[in-house]
Parts: sequence; structure tokens; C-alpha cells
Amino acid sequence: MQIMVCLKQILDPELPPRDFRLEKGEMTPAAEGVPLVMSSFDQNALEVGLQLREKMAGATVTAVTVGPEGAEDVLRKALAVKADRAVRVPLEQDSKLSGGIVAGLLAGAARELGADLVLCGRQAGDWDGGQVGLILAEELGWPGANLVTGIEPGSGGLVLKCELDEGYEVLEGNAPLVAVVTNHETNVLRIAKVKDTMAAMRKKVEQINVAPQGGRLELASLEIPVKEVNCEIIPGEDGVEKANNLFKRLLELKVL
Amino acid sequence: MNFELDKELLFLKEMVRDLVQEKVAPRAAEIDEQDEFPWDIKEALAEHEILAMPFPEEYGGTGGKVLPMVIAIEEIAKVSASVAMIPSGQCLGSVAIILAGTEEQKQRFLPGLASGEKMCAYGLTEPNAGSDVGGMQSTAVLDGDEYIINGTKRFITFGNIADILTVFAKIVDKNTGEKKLSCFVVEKGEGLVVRNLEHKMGVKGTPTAELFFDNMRVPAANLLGAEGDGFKIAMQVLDKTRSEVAAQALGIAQGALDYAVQYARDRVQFGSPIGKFQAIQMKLADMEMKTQAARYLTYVAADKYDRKAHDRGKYSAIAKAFASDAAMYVTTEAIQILGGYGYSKEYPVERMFRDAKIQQIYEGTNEIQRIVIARSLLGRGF
Repeated sequence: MQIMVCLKQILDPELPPRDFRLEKGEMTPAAEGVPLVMSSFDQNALEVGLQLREKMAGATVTAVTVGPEGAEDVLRKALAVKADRAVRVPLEQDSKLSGGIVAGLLAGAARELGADLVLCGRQAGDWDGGQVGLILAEELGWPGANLVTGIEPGSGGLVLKCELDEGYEVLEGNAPLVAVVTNHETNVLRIAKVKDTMAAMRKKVEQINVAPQGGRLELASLEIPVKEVNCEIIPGEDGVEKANNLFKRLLELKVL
Repeated sequence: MNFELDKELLFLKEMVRDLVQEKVAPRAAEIDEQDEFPWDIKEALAEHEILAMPFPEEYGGTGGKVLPMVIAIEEIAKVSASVAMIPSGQCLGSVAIILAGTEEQKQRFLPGLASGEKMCAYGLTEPNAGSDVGGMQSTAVLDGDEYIINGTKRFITFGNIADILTVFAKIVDKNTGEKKLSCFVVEKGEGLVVRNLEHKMGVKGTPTAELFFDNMRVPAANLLGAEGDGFKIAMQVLDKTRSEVAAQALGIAQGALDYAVQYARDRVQFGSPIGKFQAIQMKLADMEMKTQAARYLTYVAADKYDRKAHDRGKYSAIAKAFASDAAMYVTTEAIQILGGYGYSKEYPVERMFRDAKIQQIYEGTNEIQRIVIARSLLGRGF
């Protein structure tokens, strides 16, 4: 079984707000000099793929990303935890890149690779769009399972455990399919070992060229909200008076 | 000339950081508080091959280069100097075997140490022989195909938990009485008694033992190098491992500086963050200058060792003395910036301050390092 895991490189969500800025005509978050990491749900997807490979003889895990050459760092991280192959679909950072376009590029890569199972994180840690996985299933014409926390090989195919509000459901299905993975204590990405980490830098990253298509929705503008904090002391002799004054003030401000 | 770490080392740094954040950070204060060796973390370091880093690949290691090792130790020491001492201690104990062991000795001892299955310690210091290595009193007398070792070793890091020790003693010729300082691989067993553990100021959770050798019999095949090679081996070991002490000190300094910077941003006094006051800015700038200088000296020393540069010993002495002095300075200033909170155990900088002090003392005091540096300038005869 060929397992393809889609990985996205994003700005580190731990980045302090003071270091967040826009560039390229204020349409793209600046990536220069700020830490870039693998999107967290994608890490869960990669771990699900690695665990499934361990249970299926002959299965392979191919890590795929869409992006510029710098995005290969996330592929190297996947190689360090022993993904079998790493593939980049070259695309320069582009503000017009919607989830639909990315899904189309990943679908092209999946076809080219002959993938049987495609794993995606439920949403990217930067925009939280949450679109790519299921649009990708649609593009490929495959069934798509959402909020998957783990996959096991079953007697007739694959058994997918999916999260619900208060519990979980188990789905059974055959490849090919797309599984959109969410985080769970069982799928925290493993930490690499020293030798594999050093070796990952020397491994080959392949390229698959796919032409971007679609894009009926375009980004028109982007701005960082300006936060204003005003402090007002509500007068009053005691709690009752202060509460009454606060109530009146909130009515004045049309908060209530 | 490029002073940046290459991608491979940056990637390693990130990997170690991930490991440290997951396994070490949640336990750092607790290890200090409980003063118990963290076996769980030692296992994690073994599993992720941090303990394998000092060893050549043919013995189960990851290569044995010093530069990757100092990168890893620095990352660990940012969070816990005690944990950083686990790979450092393993390396210190093992280097004599790596440098002076025969192929048979290497095959016998190194794979178990590289996998972390066995722990190693370095038995050099004695109650009356610290900086003065030549003043050592432990003896070894050849009896058939065994040496009988007697003597006391003090301040032996991991002496009580180590399975294997590299021990220095003077071989005494039964006929002539001539003494030759030599090095032995000693496996824990009968005749080796752990007398007591030191109550230290810092690096808690890294047991430091006093060891008593009471007619301990060691196979003659465990002699490293030739009789009388002891001093040379001891110095060669320290030439290599001093960069790792520098890396511990560097990590402590960086950890304290990072904490102080964050505190200076958040702590508000007189209506503004204290980081806006020049008194604090001057301190932070001095801390950063010393930390960065320590970093480059440490990396240069490690790189020189890996390239077998002729002046590697001098550079490891410079790095060790400078980085440990810097760590002491930076942690002292970090406490000052945090004020009363810095002096409190609720905040990590007082632990870093205590951990910094030992860096100026062990593996050759900074006074000895300065003698090494000065003699490299003045030449032989000084």
C-alpha cells in the first residue's frame, strides 16, 4: 500500500504577535527570519501513516508538500522519522493559493505516485481553512473520511477510527481513500533519532510538477487587526453601586 | 569563511530541542528539587541516540564528532544542566577507551555504552589530587594476569550508577618501587565500594560519588594503552571533553538569558515593562555579548577538535573557561533582573546560577585552563 501524507509548512503558531508582519503588497505573511514548522495536524497525519505502515508489510509512506524549495524542511523532518520518500510539488508562495488549488495539486501528485491512501491534517495551523482534505477526495473521486484519529488494517480493508463530539465511530473501507486526520493522544508525531536526523539531510527530495488549476475565489485583502485597549474605572461606593454603574455604562456603549 | 551552522546541524539542534521540550522541560525543576538521577530521561536520551553521539559508528554510535555533540548538549543545558551532564558524563567516561583502547577493548565495551544499556564514569580525581593529577595516590600492582587496585576516588560523576569506569592509578613495580600513572577499564564488582554521595550546590540529580578501591582485581587486559600512559590519556580525554563543558555552560547562559529577556518584556514597574529601562537593557546587552562569544568559541573549539587542529587543546581551554565564566556572569545578572523572583525557587534562574558555578570548577578549574592557555603563548618551560 502506498500511503501519501500531505504536509504543509507554516509560520510557527508560537510566533509572538509582535513578530508577525505582512509583505508582498500586504497580501502574504512574511516568512523571512521567522521560524517555519510542519503544521500540527499534518504531524498527526504523518504519525497515523507511520503507524499504519508498521502494521502492513510492504506499505510505504511518501511525504508530499506543495511549496517553494524552503518547504522541503518539512519533508526532511518526515524523512527523519523514516518516511520512505519525499516529494515536493513546486509552487512559489502565492496569495492566490486557495485550498481548492492546493487540493488539485495534491490530487495530481497522488495520481502520479499511484497512492492508495492519502492522509491530510484536518486544517492547516496558519489559516485554519480545513478545506484541502475533502476537496482532494472530491478531486480524486475517492471516499473521504473526516476527523480520523487512527487507521488499522482490517480483514477486508482499512478500519478508521473517527472522533465524534462525545465518543468515536469506526468506519471500514477499502483503498483508495482520503483520510482527514485530527489530533489524538495516540497520534502525536514521534521524535526522530540522531542518526536518522543527520541522514535525512542527505536524502533525495523528488519533484512532481503539476499545473495549478481553478481559483474562483481570490484573496482581495489582508490586514492585521489593530488592537486597542482602553481602561475605564467604574466608580461606586460598593459592589451594588459599581454593578449598577457598570450596567449603565455597558448599555451606553451598546455592549448590552 | 562562514560562521553559520550547516543545515544538518541546525536540523539536529531542532530535533534535540523537540526532545528536550517533550521529555526534559516538564521535569527540569523536579530533578533539581528531588536530587535523584532521572532514569526515565536517561532512557529517552538512549532511545533517541543522544547517548550514542560520542561513539564511532562501528561501535554503535552516531559518529563521535564533537561539534554535533556540543550542539546537542547546549540545547539540553538550556533547560537542564543536570540532564546535559548525562551524555557529557557518558562521553567523559568512555573517551579514554575510544582514544586509547585496543580493537578488542573497543568491541567489548563501547557498544553497550553507545546503546545506553551501560553507564560509564571517569575516575580521575582523588581527595588529594584534583588539579594536581600527578599527585594521585591510587595504586595498581600486577599480580599474575590481574592488577590489584587500591585507593580512593572523589567527586566521581555517576560513580555510583556506572557499570564501567575508566580509572587512573599508579602502577607500582614490585621490585623497583617505580610508579607509572596508568589508565584501566574497571567493571563494577567486588572490591569497589561506593562510600558516600556528595551533597552538591547544583547539578542536582547527577550523583557524585566517593569510590573506594579495596584490593580490587582488574584483568591485565583492561589496561588502556601502555603502563605509564595515564597522564597522556587523561589530558587527551580532557582536551576533547572540555568543549562539552563549554557547551553546558553556554546552554545554561542561553537559558538564563532567554528567561531574563521574556521577564524584561512582561514585568511592569513604574508603569512600563522593565525592558524599557536602560539599566536593564545594558545588562541584557552584556549578557547577549558574552553568550554569543561563548557560543562561537565553543563551536570553534569543537570544530578544531574534529579537524584534529594542532591547537585544539588550547581552544578547548579557552572555550571552557570563557563559556563557564560567561554562564556565571549571565545567570548572576538574570537573577538581578528578576529581583526577588530571581532569588526564589519558583523561577528557574537560581537553579541555573547554581548549575553555572560547577562549570568553572570541574574538568579542569578555570585557573588550570588559564595556565594551559598562557603556556600555549609562552612556550615550554613556563
